[in-house]
Amino acid sequence: MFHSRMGDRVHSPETMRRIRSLIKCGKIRVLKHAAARMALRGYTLPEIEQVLSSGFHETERDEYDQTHSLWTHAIRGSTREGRKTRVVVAIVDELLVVTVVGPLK
Amino acid sequence: MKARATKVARNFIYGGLGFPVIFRAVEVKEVMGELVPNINHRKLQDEAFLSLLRASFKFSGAHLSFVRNYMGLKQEDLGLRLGLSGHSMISKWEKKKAAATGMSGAIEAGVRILMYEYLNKSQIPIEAVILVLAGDLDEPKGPVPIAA
Repeated sequence: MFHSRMGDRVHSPETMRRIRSLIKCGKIRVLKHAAARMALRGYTLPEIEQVLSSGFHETERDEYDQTHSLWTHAIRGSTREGRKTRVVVAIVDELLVVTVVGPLK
Repeated sequence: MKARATKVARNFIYGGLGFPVIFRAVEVKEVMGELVPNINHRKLQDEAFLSLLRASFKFSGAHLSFVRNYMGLKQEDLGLRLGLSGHSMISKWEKKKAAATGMSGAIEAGVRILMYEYLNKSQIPIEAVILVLAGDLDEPKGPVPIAA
């Protein structure tokens, strides 16, 4: 299930559809923590986009960020090289990459 | 949560591509308590690709990984196109992350020729390729300048 920042619940496929649409439009921003993780783990933005475009929504890992009053969503997928990766994003009017976890087993 | 009004930041360093880039002047906005460049990231990747193509420094592992993924190639595909036996050398170079890959001038020139080819450039500036071939490049220090 998808939680919007207003707390409404929308089906997970809608989350993925919005994510893919925002990537396609170039409406993606990487926050500092995520950028630091990417540099540390050796990920680049095209790989993150690949994970988000081809991955699936881990709904059980969604969390509500009380500080910023929005939901974050965990998307799990693979890079072209098959590195299993989890990308945590928030959707405002654009896609915010909050953190990157990987490679996963 | 709403993004605040935009403003122009000078010499703004951004790490969202997986390696640092620097904008001499860019519109930024505050999102989740931090400043992010208010530019289309598809365009940003296009600009970064062009900046790396023209760069007078050796590619770092992150640069190589960015270029390969931007062109939609697997490590094995890039390796084979460079006349290597497979993905292992590409993987080794990309694992250098922010440090220079250590690939030879000839291979680095090959990468840049593939980049020109990807952009459908009919004329490859031979002087630039010769410079790379000679290995006469700086180490990859500091952020990549972006002309946005």
